[in-house]
Amino acid sequence: MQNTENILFTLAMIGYFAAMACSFLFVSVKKDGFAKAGEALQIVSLALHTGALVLRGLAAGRLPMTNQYEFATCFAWALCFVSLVFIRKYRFPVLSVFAMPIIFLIMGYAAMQSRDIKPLMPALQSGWLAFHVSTAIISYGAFGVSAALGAIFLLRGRIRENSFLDQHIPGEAKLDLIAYRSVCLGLLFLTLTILTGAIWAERAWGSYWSWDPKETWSLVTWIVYAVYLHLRLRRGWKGRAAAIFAVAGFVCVIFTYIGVNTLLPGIHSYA
Amino acid sequence: MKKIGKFLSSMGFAVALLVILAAACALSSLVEQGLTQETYAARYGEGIASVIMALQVNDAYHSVWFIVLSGFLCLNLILCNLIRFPAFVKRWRKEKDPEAVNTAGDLGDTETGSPEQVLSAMRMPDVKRCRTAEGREALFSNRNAIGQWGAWICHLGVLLLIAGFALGQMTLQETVIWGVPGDTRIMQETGLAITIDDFRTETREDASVAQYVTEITVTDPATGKSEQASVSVNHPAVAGGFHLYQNNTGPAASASVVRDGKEIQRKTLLPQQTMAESVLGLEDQPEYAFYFAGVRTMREEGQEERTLYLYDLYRSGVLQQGYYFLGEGSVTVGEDQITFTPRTFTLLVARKDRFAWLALLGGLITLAGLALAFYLQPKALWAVRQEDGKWILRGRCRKGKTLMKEQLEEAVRAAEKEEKQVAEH
Repeated sequence: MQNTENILFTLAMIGYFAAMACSFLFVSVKKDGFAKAGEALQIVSLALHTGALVLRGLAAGRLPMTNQYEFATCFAWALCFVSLVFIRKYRFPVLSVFAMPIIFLIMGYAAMQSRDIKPLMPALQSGWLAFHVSTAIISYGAFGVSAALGAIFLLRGRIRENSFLDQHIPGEAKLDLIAYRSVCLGLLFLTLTILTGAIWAERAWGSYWSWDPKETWSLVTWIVYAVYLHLRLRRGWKGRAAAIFAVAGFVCVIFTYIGVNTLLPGIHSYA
Repeated sequence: MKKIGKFLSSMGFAVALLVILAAACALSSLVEQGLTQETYAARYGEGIASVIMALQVNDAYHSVWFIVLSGFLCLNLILCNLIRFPAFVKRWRKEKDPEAVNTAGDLGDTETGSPEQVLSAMRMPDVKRCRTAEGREALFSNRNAIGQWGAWICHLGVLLLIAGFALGQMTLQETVIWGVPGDTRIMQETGLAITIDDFRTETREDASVAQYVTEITVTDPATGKSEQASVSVNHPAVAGGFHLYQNNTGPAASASVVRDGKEIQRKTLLPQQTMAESVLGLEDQPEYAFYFAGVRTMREEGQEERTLYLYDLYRSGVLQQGYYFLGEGSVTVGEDQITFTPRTFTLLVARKDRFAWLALLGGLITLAGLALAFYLQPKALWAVRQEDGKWILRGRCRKGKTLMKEQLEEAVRAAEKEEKQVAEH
């Protein structure tokens, strides 16, 4: 079963790469066909990726969300899923130009991690695991999409008048609004992640908040996006400033995910 | 005074506090908490160690400045919610008020022949008929008025969460119960006697640990009533209002002194106990005292790794000798035989946080507030009949007017198309 999972994972990765290539061709050759092919490839790769995750879950007898490899591959899956939802909902194929490289990089990071299926340590044997990690994955995926949208916003301002891009990239106000909605989705799920994590920590470690680096950085990320929302309201920080904030916020997310685990010791060392 | 109140309740002050708190949390997470100045000096040098101690970064989250900052944040939330409450009520009423038909809205004007159809397509079927100040026929519909309470509710939730956490920390009762099976410990806070009946490490076929389980008996000396309970990771037990958590395990030992075939002394030796706790300064010092210096692993060439248990033996307060054994071992001192037996200790943490429920409630309210603020955005649409019989559609949506305008245009086009089809038939 693990062999099939590896094959599906590799195929998904190749598919993501091909989808990324198609999206690049779409904006450089300016042919709509590449956008459609890229989207189709993204959907097929997501299906293969889902298959790999299901097989891993079956082989492990649990949800595949407990170590660095599993979280990374789920993170890439969520980013792909959320970006597809946004692409279809807002008819916005250019989003994949920025989302696919992030997805591909995270898949690459996952590929470098150990894929051994190990039984769960006692602290991880809890029904809260599924809620806590899946909400974190959706949250990180949504923040990833908001960062991609922020990057599009910033680049859009630098590109001279281009009828093709004008046709395929929403106007600044809409772009800003979609990024805002993506941040809202991310923040809502991050709150849910922190809340479910606290309830679980109370049962497993006896304290719902221990200022562990992972907890602390989740709080820092939460505050960063809370500041983003307040500044939008108070100072009208929309457009460029909000786009910069969305990209900077995602750096914080990545540090919470990878940086904390590799640089700071804590009780979340397995995550 | 009014100016100070305005400043303390302002969003600018809130943002400044949030930025400072985030920066403080981020920086403090880079410094391992709770170490001594000597340890910091060894790691970062004397200068930085002094700064860490002076700024209380060694215990940042309990430091005076962190508590003061959090206090200001709470004050800001209280004032902000109190001051803005009347404005929220006013805006809530306004959201539902058909008086809006006399305003221009913020979506611009869109012409349509069938306003009811458009309103229905915009999922606003609850239409009120009214008239403008000029006496023109008008239709008004709104939805998600409750959504404008989202931010207020979210602030309330954060406030309750911080209050629950702070009160919980201030009144927290915590103690540890540790020992080996057979030991009984008294929980000073409740007077309950906790007897460790059994401790086991459940393993799987691949030798990985599946669970740590401590079986205990809780006895109330006042009533003599006993109750058995099982404590394992993720499955705490409750005793005397305290939650008991399986927290740790590791090597321990027991020492037994036998004289003339009779056990005259027995002691559980735990590794984290200091030399002072184990041996010195005891008024009622028994004849023998023991210090468990922990375990060391050794591997000789071609052999499996083995564990050595190290002990110091004191008699009448004087160190006799240090011993190490691979597993159980005995020594003879005079006419006494002293046996050291390796054991495994279990450590339970007993905690009573009276305000955890408040923090949880705060968290849930925060979540509800965010969901309301993000996904129930107040929208209002109205149509005013013109002299030529056509209708002008107007509307408002504070946070999503770009998308609402697009949706509105789409709904108008769909209605026109349908109208055309009906006319053709």
